[in-house]
Parts: sequence; structure tokens; C-alpha cells
Amino acid sequence: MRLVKRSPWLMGLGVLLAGLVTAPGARGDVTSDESGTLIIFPKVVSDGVRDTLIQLSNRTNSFVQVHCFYINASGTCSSTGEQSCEIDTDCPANEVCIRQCNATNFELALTAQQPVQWRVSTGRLTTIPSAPCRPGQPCQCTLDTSGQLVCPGMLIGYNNASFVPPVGSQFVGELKCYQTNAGDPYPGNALKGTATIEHLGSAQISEYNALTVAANADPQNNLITDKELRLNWTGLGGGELNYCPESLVFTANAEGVTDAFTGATISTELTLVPCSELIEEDLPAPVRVRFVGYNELEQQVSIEAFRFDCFLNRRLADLPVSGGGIFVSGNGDLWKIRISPLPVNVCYSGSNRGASCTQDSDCGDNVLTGPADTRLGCLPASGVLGVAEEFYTVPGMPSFLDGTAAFNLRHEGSRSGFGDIVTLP
Amino acid sequence: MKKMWQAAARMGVGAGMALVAMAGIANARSTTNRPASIVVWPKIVVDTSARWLVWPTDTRLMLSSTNASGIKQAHCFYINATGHCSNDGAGCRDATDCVGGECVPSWNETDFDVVLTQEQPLAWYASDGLARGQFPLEGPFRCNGVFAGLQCFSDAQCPPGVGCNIGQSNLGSAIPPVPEDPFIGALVCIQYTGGSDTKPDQTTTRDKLYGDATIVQSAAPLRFVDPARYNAIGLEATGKEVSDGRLVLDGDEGKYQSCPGVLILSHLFDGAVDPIIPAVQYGTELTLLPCSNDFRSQTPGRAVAQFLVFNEFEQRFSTSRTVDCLFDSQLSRIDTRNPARSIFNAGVAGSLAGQTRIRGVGGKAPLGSGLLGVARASLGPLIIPSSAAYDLHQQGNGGRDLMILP
Repeated sequence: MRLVKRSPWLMGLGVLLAGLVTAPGARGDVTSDESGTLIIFPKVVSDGVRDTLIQLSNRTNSFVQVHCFYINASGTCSSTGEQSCEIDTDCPANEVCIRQCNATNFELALTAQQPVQWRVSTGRLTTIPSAPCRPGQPCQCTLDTSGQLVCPGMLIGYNNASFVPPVGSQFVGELKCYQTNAGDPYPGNALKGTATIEHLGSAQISEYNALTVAANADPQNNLITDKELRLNWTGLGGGELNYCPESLVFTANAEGVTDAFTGATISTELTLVPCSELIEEDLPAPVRVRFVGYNELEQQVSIEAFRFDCFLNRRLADLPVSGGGIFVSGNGDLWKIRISPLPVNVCYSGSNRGASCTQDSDCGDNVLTGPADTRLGCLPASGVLGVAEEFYTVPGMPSFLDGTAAFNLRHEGSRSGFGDIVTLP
Repeated sequence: MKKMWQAAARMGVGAGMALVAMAGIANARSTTNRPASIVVWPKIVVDTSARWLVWPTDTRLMLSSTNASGIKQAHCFYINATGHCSNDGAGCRDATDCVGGECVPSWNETDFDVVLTQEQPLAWYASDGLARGQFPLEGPFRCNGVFAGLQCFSDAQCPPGVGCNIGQSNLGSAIPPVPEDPFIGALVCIQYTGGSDTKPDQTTTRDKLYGDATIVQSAAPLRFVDPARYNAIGLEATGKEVSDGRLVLDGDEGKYQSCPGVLILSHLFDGAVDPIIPAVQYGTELTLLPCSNDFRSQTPGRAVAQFLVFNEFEQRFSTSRTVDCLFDSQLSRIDTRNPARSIFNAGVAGSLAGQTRIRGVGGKAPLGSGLLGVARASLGPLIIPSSAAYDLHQQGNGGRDLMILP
């Protein structure tokens, strides 16, 4: 209970001094190597085959409160409900892929410079504090009777509730967190993190840095009070949080190419999540993107209008359609792939949700309004963020022995205009 | 508990004042997210005969151009940080690699040029390089790829689907293999304009390069592959012409953006039991590279890295180590030769997760003290190795650094 004794005014002064020295940027970028107010783990897996370890840290010398939500993105076909899917073409004819994209909320707090970790399948219980590890003894977490982890460390959950809830073993989706103060978003830019995806059989790990979005600290903006996070800041002037990138770019080995050193076959899985998120309305955000690939022979291929809702986690071999990939071996050994949100408007809600539009009336009935009265009708298609993961398969060996490596994508430019929106409960 | 949250809530006014002050401060430093004009791979490991390491290891390097129109040239330097044993001259990282001898540090660079066509990706293994004849677009009026030996003036004169290169090409490129095996070191590439008037690129199409590295362990008998991939670090150009071969890394005051003031490493402490598979434990290697280097006089950058380590109890530990040319170490060997007593050991630190802030100080003028780095986590003991590389976080702008070109 050491924190209760602290003077909040002195802590505020500490933030002032720390802020003057350590302010993150006024440049409008989403990054994976700096701290921010909104933090996004695009790929979180707990599917019974692999599990994910989250590390979240406070980069500042101040006490920080955090609100998080897991978004379960598992999808099933509209009629054939037991068939899992990523996009509509994964389903039988005349069916569409329906993603749940429902959010599970939780809150936690971090003391100055504090790192914490948890396993997503089990979650982690509040422990204030639990006994520290000792030299010469194993330093480990234990499972309590509820099946949640108890780990050495000082962990703070609200009202002594479960620190981080378990997601179980049928979860694929993302984790988003934002910094708060008394329950409202707070532009402290203190959060950074990493995610480690681990195979439960072989212990093969992939690790990537979470994506962070810095907030405008100017109190004149409405970030703090209106329950809408707007990603519409260039780093100067008005706006709430930095814009999402204009495009993502990464270099991948061609799908199915044989690695010269190991003889393994390489496959890449791409995960994309929308920058916009309608948490309050419990609706998946519609995404429209264009893929353009360039191989080492300067040849170019593209996927012009690819659409998905809420979350995409797909091998390059299955882009644009399952088994019909274009970024494959034979067209070149390397692909540099650029992913750009299409400059079109789509309906975020209403009876025509997901359809292209030019005005709100194109979205039909029941167009919703956000917590700050933003009309969630005809808006620019969402920006995207993502991460990629490589799988090295040795011929003749079982897939659970695949070597894996995750990596962050590069960002080019920034979106403009409306940007993106996250509505909060 | 509720009082604690209320107390924290009252911080708002003071903190708000702080944040107003923060709003206008510009961000200009290294990046692992954006294309840039200087690209740095801080860790390249080659040990194809497993002399140092348990398993044969090589590093696959990727360099890509995002320039939408026209070639870009990269002038690159392999930095060889491999030491050599005093008794038999074999390559070494430290004395443990020399039986009965000392590991004598050494540093040298090998430079080469790569010409990239518009939007082109290239990849090569560090142990192999890419020789003339192995580039995908060898030269004008040559068939592409492995058919570069065939002269052509149209696609019809090349094998089907191969194409005749009558436009941009990789002509002028040659990537040597790293100078020895085993090898530990780094790679730095600087974007040039290319063409006849070649100089560091400060034009409107600067900042078009990015790189990746995958450290790959593999062994034929066990038929496994353990890849660990990270993003190379970029430093963007400011647009100010470089005429004297001195690349000043100092934000808007210099020719390129600054190196970070502080690097931040998120990690599990060495020896922490994996929360997912309790039979294995975490270990983390940290690699640090000085931002400054004098390639003209063959003088490596040097700085002292100060480490500030935080555990999950908000407790703080500290240590420091000299970074001379390149620093590569298991975390729990940074401050002691006995890892069980290290502040990076989970038993000493007291918790599983840690956050380590690293600041470079004490650089030797005119070179600076900035540092760049990468981390690699691994699990063990395992029959088949498992590791993952990841980039460090950063905070604030560092001081002035300098790269001096030959």
C-alpha cells in the first residue's frame, strides 16, 4: 500500500519533470519502438496449440492506469456455423464470414517503470505483493485453484479483481490497451509492450513489439472526456492520437520458397487489424485494402480490393483466396509487399453496414452515433496495422516443429482527414 | 485499494500541466518502423561449423528499396568485431572461445556497394554474399536471374518468363561474404544517390531503404530450424548536403537524425521459468553497437552503457559496461562472471519480468556515445533450440554522433 501514502501533487510534479525530459514525439506516426497512450498487440493466440505471453511496461516515473480489451476475432460461416473462416471466400457459396469481434475488458495499474507479464490463456491474478523469487530457487508462476496464474511481483487490479482475465484456449484476436486516469483516457504516452507467441509442444517462440499510438497532450482536445479516441493528429496542432500509417510495407520470402541454408520451406502469416474499432457498438470495423507486391526481378502484382472485418490472420499462400496466393515461389523468391487502405468510404453501421457509400443515407436504417455524437455511417475505410510471422518447415518433419519468427511491419506516411475512430464503452 | 485509484486520479491537474509542456517537442531519432537513409543491422552472427555455438548458425540479410522511381545505391560496411585467440589465432568472442589463450579484440570494416532498382527487395546469407552473376537484375541487355549470361534486346530472346532487362539493374553491385567464419559483427548501409554523381542521398527521395535480419540456427541430423528475425534500425536524413564524408547524427542540427537518448529493453530475467511451459527457462542476449564509427581511420565507436534495471516490485538495480566496437552478452553475464549472482538473474531480481534502461555515456570526441541494439530471447534447456529476436524501444534524443566515411 505504499502508493496510497504518496502525494498526488508531488507525483504530478514528477510527471511534469519527467515529461519535459522524456516527451515522446510530436510526429504523427504509429510506432513499435516508442511508448504511447494506445497500445495494440495485433496478434494474440491461445488456440490450444500455441499460447501468448504479454509483457506490458510503464516507461515513465509516474503511476499509470490502463484499460484493456481483448477482441476475440474468431469467425464462422453464416449458415455453416461450425466452419471457421477469415473472409467470405473461405465459406461455401452464398455464405459470408461472420466474425464475433466481441471485447473483454479489464483494468490494471503500473507503478513507475514497472514491467508486468501474463499468459493470455490463464490470465493472472492480482497479488499485492506476492513473495519475491529467491536466489537459487526457481522463479516461477503457479496456478491457483481457479486456473489463473499467480506470479511473483506487485500487481494491481481494480477492486482486487482478477488482474487479467483468462481467455481460454479458443482465442485468436488482438489486445488493445489505453492509458487512463480516473476511468477516462489520459494522454500520458507511457505504455510499451511485447508479445511472445509460443508453441505448447515444441516451445518455439516468436516475439514482436506491440504498436503504440502517441496522444496529443493538449487539454483542449477531447481525448479525455468524450469516450471516442480519434486517430487524427499529425503531431502538430489539433487532434487526439497520431494518425495510422498511409501504408504498411514489409519484405517476405515468397510463399513456399526453399531456404538455401536450412533446406526448409518458408511460409509467412500476415496479421492485420483495423485502426478503427467500434467497441461501444460491438460492431466489427470494415476494412478495404490494396496489396501491391514487387519481387526482386522488379515484377509487380496486386490485389486491388481486398475486404475483411475486424481481423485478418492469413498465410500469403491464401491471399487473395485460399490456395490461390500470388506472393508465392515461382513468381520470385522475395516479395516486398505494400498494403494500403483504399481511399473509399464504407458504412460502419446501418442496414447496409460494410457497403461502399458516398453519404450516410447510403447506409440504410439504424445508422448509429458514437459516444461523442460522431455519426458512424459513411466514413473512410479503416486504416490498418499489423505484424507478420514466418514459419520454417523442414520437409518430412511434423508441423509442430516449425521454426517461427515474428516481425514488425514498416510504415509509410500518415493518413489524413477523418483518420480513424475507437469508440469506448 | 479504491483510495489508491482515487489518489492516482487526483494527479490529473499536475500531470496535465506536464503534458501541455510535452506537446510541442519534436521527435527525431532512429526508427525500426520507417524507411531511412542509414540502415544498421546491429547483430550478424555466422558460425556455420558450430565452433562457437551449439548449432550451425548463419544470418540472412534483407535490404529493400521503397523508391517508386529510379535506382538507389547503398554504400555498406560490414563491421567485423570478431576477436582472435592469442594462442592459435582462431576467431573468438571472449576468452571462453580460446583454449588456454586470451581473446584479443579486433575491429575492421569491409565496404561494398549495392544498387537497388525501384521497389526492389534483395536478400543474401552473410556467409555467402552475392557475387556478380547472382544478382536478380544483372545489367542492361542481359536476361534476368540466373540467365544473366545471355545477352538480349527483347524478352523473346530470353527463356520464357525470365525477361530481358533493358531498364534498371543491379549493375555495380557486389556483396562479399563476411570476412571470416565464425563471425560476429554488424552491417551499416548508407543511401547514396547512385549514378555518376554519387554521394550520400539528401535529395527529396532520401529515406527509401529498410532492412531485416534473420539469425538462423539449423542442424541437419536433427532436422530443425530456429529463426530469429529483427528489423534493422534506420536513421533518416535531414536533407542537408554531406560534402566532407562526415555524417553528423544530430537531428535537425545534423545531417541525419539522432540516435536515441535511452534504449529500453523489455525482458524476462535470465533463469525465469517460462509461464507457459514450466519445464524451460528464459535467457536473453543483448547486442549493443555504438552509433559513431570512424571508417576512415578505422577507429570504432566506444561508449559506456549504463544499465538501470527495474523489476515487478518497482525496485531498481544498476550496472555499467564498456561498449567497444560491439557488445554482445547474455544479460546475466553483463555484471558478473557468475550468472546466478547477476542483477539480471530472476532469483536476484525477485520477479520474472524486467525493464532495463540503457544509456550511452563517455564517448570519445569527436565521436559520440549513442548506442543502438537488438535483443534475442531464448528458451532452454531444449533438444531443439528456440529463440526470437526483437528490437529495443527507445526514448528521447541522444547527443551528437558521427560516422566518418573513407
